[in-house]
Amino acid sequence: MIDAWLKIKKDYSYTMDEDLRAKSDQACRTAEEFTKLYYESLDKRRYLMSRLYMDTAILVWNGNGIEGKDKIQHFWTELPASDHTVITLDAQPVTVPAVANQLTFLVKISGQVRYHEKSAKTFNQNFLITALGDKWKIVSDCFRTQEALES
Amino acid sequence: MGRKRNRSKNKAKLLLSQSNDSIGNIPSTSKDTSPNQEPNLKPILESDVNVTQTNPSGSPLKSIMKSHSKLNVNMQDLSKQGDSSTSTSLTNPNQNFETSTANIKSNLINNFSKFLSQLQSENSSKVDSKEDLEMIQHHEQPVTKKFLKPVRISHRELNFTAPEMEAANLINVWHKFVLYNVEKEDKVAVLNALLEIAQPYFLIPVMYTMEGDNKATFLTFCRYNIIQRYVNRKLEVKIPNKTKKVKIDIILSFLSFQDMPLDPQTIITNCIIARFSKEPINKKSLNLKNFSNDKILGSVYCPLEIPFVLDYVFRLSKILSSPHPMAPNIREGKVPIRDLILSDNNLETLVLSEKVFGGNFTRLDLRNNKLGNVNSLRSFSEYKITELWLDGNPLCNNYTKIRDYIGTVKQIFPFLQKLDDHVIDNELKLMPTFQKHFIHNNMKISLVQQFLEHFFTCYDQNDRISLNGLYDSEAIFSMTIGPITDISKQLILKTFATNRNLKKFADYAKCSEILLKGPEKIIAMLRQEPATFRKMKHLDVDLVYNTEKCFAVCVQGPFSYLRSYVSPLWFNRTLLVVAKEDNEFCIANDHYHIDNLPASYNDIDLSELTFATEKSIPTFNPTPFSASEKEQLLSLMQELTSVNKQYAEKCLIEANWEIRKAVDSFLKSYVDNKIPMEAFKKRVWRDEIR
Repeated sequence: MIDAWLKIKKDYSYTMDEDLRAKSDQACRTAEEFTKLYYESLDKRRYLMSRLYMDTAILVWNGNGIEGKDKIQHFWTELPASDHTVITLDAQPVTVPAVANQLTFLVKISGQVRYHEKSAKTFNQNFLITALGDKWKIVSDCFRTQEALES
Repeated sequence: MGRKRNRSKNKAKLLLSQSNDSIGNIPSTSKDTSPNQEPNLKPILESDVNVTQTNPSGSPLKSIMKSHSKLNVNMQDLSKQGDSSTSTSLTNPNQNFETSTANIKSNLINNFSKFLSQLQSENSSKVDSKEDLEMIQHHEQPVTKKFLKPVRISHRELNFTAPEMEAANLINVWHKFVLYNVEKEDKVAVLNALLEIAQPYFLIPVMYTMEGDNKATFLTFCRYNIIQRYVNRKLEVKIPNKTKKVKIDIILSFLSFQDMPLDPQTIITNCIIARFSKEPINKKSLNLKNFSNDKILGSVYCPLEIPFVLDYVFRLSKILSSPHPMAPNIREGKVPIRDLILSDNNLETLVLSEKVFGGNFTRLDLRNNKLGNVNSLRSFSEYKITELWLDGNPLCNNYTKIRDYIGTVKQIFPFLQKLDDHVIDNELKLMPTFQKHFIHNNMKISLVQQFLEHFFTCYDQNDRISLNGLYDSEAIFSMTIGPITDISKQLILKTFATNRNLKKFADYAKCSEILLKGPEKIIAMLRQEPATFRKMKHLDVDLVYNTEKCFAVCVQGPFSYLRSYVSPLWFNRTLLVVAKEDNEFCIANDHYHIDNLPASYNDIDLSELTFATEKSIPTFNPTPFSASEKEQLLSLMQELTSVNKQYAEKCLIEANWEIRKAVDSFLKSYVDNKIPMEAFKKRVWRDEIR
């Protein structure tokens, strides 16, 4: 009886790990595709940025909060042209049901950014992205350089 | 010219009377003739004989003419304005020619006006060019009865006296140019050189043909004044970038127009109409891409790289595109286009002699030309160009820095938003100011502050076992490490960290292996990290996600490793925190990143971090109370002392949540009159993170 119970528990933990593995794989794949699209758009086709955000998305850019995809689009359009290089990328699935009844990932990026041909600065960026229909949309986008940027 | 004409419909007639003046403005003929007079000219009988005599090598003219038979249109004198005055000063040998010209011209105008009305009445975007050509053909051909006497002027024996001048000044005749010492590849260079010499008069060569290895010929309409210019140069022309000179013979009045009724201007007009029509009408685009190679042009040479040819094409466009043919001020009209495409035209410079385009003109495509200097585009400054393409021009090589390129172009195109398909940054665009924190929900400020203080106090303890209870049972942890090159720092990181940088993994299977799940694994791993130290005041905090049940914060700032003697490092951490029962909060996701300290941090005093010792670490006193128990203690404290919640909490925290101790110290302070008035005010004085 006890053996059977242990076996069930083992199977259960096994399937849980499999579930996590699958979610982790998907998070990694999504994160790579997403960041490629995101930084290409941001550097080259900025007028398309709003497509990446949910209607109610929030962008926190060096402590400046911008809410709503139209305002976010406006913010990006007004920002000086940029050139981003991703150095590290990591992604985690969000598994707690309180946050995500649907597939949601945390994406963390560090890299270098250049504005106006000025010297490159290190930046960190964190995303919460979620599946909306067949597309991934940004719930929240938090960008920070490690130091204040000159205009 | 606005006389009654039975053939034309009223509207077309009115249109013609307007547009004709403008047409006349470009290549004008004498206007004092009766259009209804029947031509009374002898057919040419011997001109063919003359051709063979003057051109012994045998002209392939007839076969060329066949290729043009579809474009059998009326002739119009092509010499530029100012020309006619020259002609009147010289005696015209045959008045009949004048009448035939006028007749032909009126026919042409009829056709032209039909085009225009068709263009304007039909909303359809396409005008079938076949149909156009049939319309051109459909009027009666005047019969030529003129006996032509061709006169040859040669570079070998230059003689330009009365008979030659007379022949040169005949209208309605083709002059044949015979070029010696030319090679096949010289066509554009030699024709452009001839066109340049003709300026400010207008020359349109047709049927340029190689007639042997070093000989080429073409036909053209032109007057005495242009011929004189070539004669002045001894019928020699130098090809740019080549040492050799091309020698010219001109056979004046070589062929009558009736023998070869090819009208270059109408052909060019048709070509422009087709270029307008190719684009949907609402797009308002004039596409002159690779214009000189347009099939409609046939053998008519119309190189837009010659400024006055381009100017001519623009002025024709102006007439053709006029939305109000009835308007009397057509001369002041503008081409109502939004887009102008001039790519692939060998343009070396681009000068507009007048304001040709309307206010909607905002997009200019100049790709793949030979523009060497942005300043040559100065005449476009008066337009509000917002999109410009300059790819494939030599001027692009003048710049090594994109910023200089954009800057120079923007000086001439101050309204520019897109250059070569890139949205360009405005010099006036400023960086948004740097804000240390973003916590948009006031209700969450104290919660976030409390949580972070608690988390990092636990984290910076000698043994991170104190983190126990902070991670959710399903919590997930992973970390990445930036490009740290300092070896002693690398050694420290090696002792505990696994860099889960997806950029470095080919196989995601390994990525899921190093994704830690559950508090046991996470805390076990974190306990291996050497003791850390940081100051809350150095940290930037962003609340990036916030619902009733959970929140996410991104925290970043400097920290140091105690006892390590390495300079401080940098961390960026995302914590997704969920509310549990009894108002407790647990971390569901922990995303950790370690990086180099930014260079500019040298300015900020980090001595507190650098010289931190174990004594610097805030003492951590685990409290046995849950959040709801604390709430009860707070209420009790408030009841006993009648202070507000904030002050009650302060007392309780100082007493480490021992209510008896807290009340004792309160009473002591009360006796000593040390309780501030604020303590009894019901207001929030802690809604700041610091």
